[in-house]
Amino acid sequence: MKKMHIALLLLVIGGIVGMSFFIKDLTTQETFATAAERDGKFVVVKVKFDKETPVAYDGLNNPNYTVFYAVDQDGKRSKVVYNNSKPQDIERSEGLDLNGYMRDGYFECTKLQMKCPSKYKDDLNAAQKNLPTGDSSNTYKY
Amino acid sequence: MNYIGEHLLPGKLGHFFLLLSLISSLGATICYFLSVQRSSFMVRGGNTQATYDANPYWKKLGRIFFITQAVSVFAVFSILFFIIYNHYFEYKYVWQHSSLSLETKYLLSCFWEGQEGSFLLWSIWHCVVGLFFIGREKKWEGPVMTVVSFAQLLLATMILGIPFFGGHLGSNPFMLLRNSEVLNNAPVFFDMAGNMRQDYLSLIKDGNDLNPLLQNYWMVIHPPVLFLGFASAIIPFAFAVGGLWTKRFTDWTKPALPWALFSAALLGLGIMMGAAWAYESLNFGGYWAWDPVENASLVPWLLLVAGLHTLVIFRHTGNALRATSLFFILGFLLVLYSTYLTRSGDLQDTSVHAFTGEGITPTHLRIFLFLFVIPSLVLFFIRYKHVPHIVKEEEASSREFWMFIGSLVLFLSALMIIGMTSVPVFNKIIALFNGEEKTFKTFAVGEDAAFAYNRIQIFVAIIIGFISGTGMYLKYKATGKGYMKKILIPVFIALAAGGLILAFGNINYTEHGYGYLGAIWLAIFAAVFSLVANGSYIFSGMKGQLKRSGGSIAHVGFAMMLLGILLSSSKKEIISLNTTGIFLDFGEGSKENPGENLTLVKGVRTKMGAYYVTYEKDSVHPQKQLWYYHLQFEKADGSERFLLTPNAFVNYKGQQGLMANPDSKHFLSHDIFTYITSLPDPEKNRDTASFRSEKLSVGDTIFYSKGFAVLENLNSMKEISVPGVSFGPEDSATVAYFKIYSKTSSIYTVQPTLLNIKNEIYAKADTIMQENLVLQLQGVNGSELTLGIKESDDVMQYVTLKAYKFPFINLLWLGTIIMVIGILISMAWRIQTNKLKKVSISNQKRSGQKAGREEQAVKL
Repeated sequence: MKKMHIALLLLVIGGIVGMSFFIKDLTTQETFATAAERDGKFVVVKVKFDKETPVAYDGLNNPNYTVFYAVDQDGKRSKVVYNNSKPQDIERSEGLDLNGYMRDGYFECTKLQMKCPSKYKDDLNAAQKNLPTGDSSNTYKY
Repeated sequence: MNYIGEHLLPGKLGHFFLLLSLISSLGATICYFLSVQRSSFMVRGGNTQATYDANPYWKKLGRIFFITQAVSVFAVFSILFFIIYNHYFEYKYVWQHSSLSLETKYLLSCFWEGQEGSFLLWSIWHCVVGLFFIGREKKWEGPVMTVVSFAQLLLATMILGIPFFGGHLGSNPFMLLRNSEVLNNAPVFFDMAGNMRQDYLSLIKDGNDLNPLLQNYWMVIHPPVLFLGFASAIIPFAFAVGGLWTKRFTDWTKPALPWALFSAALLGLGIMMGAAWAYESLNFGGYWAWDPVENASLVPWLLLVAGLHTLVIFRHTGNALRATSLFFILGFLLVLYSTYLTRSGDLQDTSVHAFTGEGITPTHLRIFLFLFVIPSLVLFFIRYKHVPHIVKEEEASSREFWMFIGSLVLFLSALMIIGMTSVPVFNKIIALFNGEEKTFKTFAVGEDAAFAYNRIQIFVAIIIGFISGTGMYLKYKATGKGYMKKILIPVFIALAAGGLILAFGNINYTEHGYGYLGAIWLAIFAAVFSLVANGSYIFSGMKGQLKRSGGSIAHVGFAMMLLGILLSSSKKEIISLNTTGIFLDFGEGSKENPGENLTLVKGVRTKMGAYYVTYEKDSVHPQKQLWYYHLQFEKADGSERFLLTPNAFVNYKGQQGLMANPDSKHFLSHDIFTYITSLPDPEKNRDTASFRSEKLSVGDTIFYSKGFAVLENLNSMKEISVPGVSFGPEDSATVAYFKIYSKTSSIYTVQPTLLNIKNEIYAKADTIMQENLVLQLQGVNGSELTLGIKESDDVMQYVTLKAYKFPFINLLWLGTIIMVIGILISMAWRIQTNKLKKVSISNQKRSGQKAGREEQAVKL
């Protein structure tokens, strides 16, 4: 066997070992219901931010504690506790990927990924709202 | 129907040139293809007398078509910039991506914010690169320009925007706003009969503005450089494909090397400019987050670098030609794959900044990808056996052996990164086989995505560090023992320097265990070794001749980058840890560990890490809702004092929330980096606080907790000046003049006002921030008035922020610059030696003497 083949073999083995770690760490996308079954396991839940309930966040009292509600793909609503500051434009987000653990009665979110509404398509919808409408053209209110 | 105020000519011209570029790129592709196919350029069976002469007629025609195409693309580019520059909001692209208040420099960022503009940018670089190529490389013009023209054809379809089999082909940047669906939901633009109003344009006062995150100077320069890197990556690809296609398997390698070096330099620079942008304007706390968009641009670079190393091996020893072809082919295919990933919208769940599939459909992008993947890979595998290779094994002491191993490591690293990035794509493919029962679950990357990448790539860094340091001291073919001794000095220096860093650098990143810490230490050693070894090789191996030492210089830069990455990420500190105890009211469910955000109350000096920080004041941008927060940092002993002004768009375009931009203070050894994570919500405060009502007459006094207020005067008038209000004959205003005497013996005057406009009452309250006091006039009855008085902490101003200390980040930026300069020096040297060879070959022919110069030049 050539030296190059040995080197190649070693590298490929190294690569496979590395990738197997990665695959082992892969997790699945769950809903709140199935996440509860996988008690205490790290999961990703795809949800929509519940616009009906305002975000509970008081930077003065605890800047690292945010509570909001979210609805998953099955339509189930759950409380979400996020131990960080309120994500910047969560109210505008079109979708959220919650990373974390389902606890008793709430979802503990360790990382949060927002589908960025500032990107093009959604932005257009948002922008449409800023177009003038008939009644807004001379308003003043104090 | 004619609409008032529209400028339709640029759009019509633009569309004409779009069509012209499509047709002429089709023409160029066909003509260049035939110029090769119908000539002796192709090596055919039995044709041993092959010449480099492409068919002159087809070649000439192809050139005319390509130049026409280039002119059209330039025209489209100029017209699009013209309409953006002049704010012609009748065009959807202009309306969507720009606004009147935007600074001129950002108008270029508007240009490439959208899909169409960025494709156009790519296309225009192809033109520039193609024209340069036609000028410089006459021999390989036929095959290479066939590929470039074909890419131009496909890019042209992306921005065409014509109806196509029920759908639409591409997205036209010159689409009119009234023809897009944007206005459909706004009835104000339509008359009673439902037709567009003739003067609809007069209602559109301003554009939709550029995404605030892109309002950064890096976004002016980063996309053009990155796209020049992407666009130039097509040249090594086209050379490799051309070589396989014409069966001139080896001839292309000489002219290809400078082009590959150029591409690697520019792509590397572009990627790092993107990193600099992320560092300065995004809030993920760093320059690199293994985000899919970043990975997608890194991977082609890795392959280009692998390819140019194997190409150098081939130029010197005749080994590794197959690998070179493969790496260059895959490099450009991965550029296309990254285009698909970032623009199709298939990634948008995992990436913070991926485009969604608006206008240009994912199918279109997939076709684009496959039209390149299938022919090039099929060609590669058909011709694979014919590509010359050396059966004899390389010596383990030879330079080429270790260079090849290094290239393989880069290649495998690239494969792993792109594989991990493609998880959403795999999910999509799996989903195709998913029936109603959802047999297959959707996968997601595990808890710590960055660590998933880092723990693999750290070993890549270790191997590359050691190989790139040693490699220079080895010779091609075989290295003698005596030569190896030269390396001993750098080894000892590196051991000493690395030891010092580890001994005094306090690198104890144990978040992921001691094994990982060990890997970090090893990687630091490897990086230091590579830095020292390559640096000293410039003198010991190259006698200090910088123009010949491009490779070593690039390696020094790369080693510095590695060191910068390792030190800055393993020693990154969050200094805004909330451990002061003042606000430690952890709510339910909150973990006990301190949070990473800290709240600063205006004017209150708060301890943060080694600093005391005071939120002093804020200021607003003159034209935009962009607020700057002035934070005064000072060391306890007063040795350091500086101001940071992170800024944020507050309630941008009427939407809730803030979009924050960080600010950082650069020191030689570290950066202090901070950004606003949260602000009090003024709307919320207004709702919750309530007024206490009091009846008062002129001369009366009213007390509040910190002092008292005297009603000095009460004035009713027909008209006062209030911005945005015009007074009618029936309207009136009442102003109450208060003098406030506070405990701190300050005196303020306050004028709450009551407006009566068209029989509606509006109260204009007045606030004294220092006293947390708000006065509001609630009603007036002759000389008696009802005053609302509110004292509330809600008026208190504070910011919540996050702050980091990034040590040695400057090493990364400096390393990048050195690396890019090194690659460019190397490119210049290769161009020079290529010319030298041409001269020496022609000398040889003329005089019949054996010219030693070529041999010499090759060795260099």
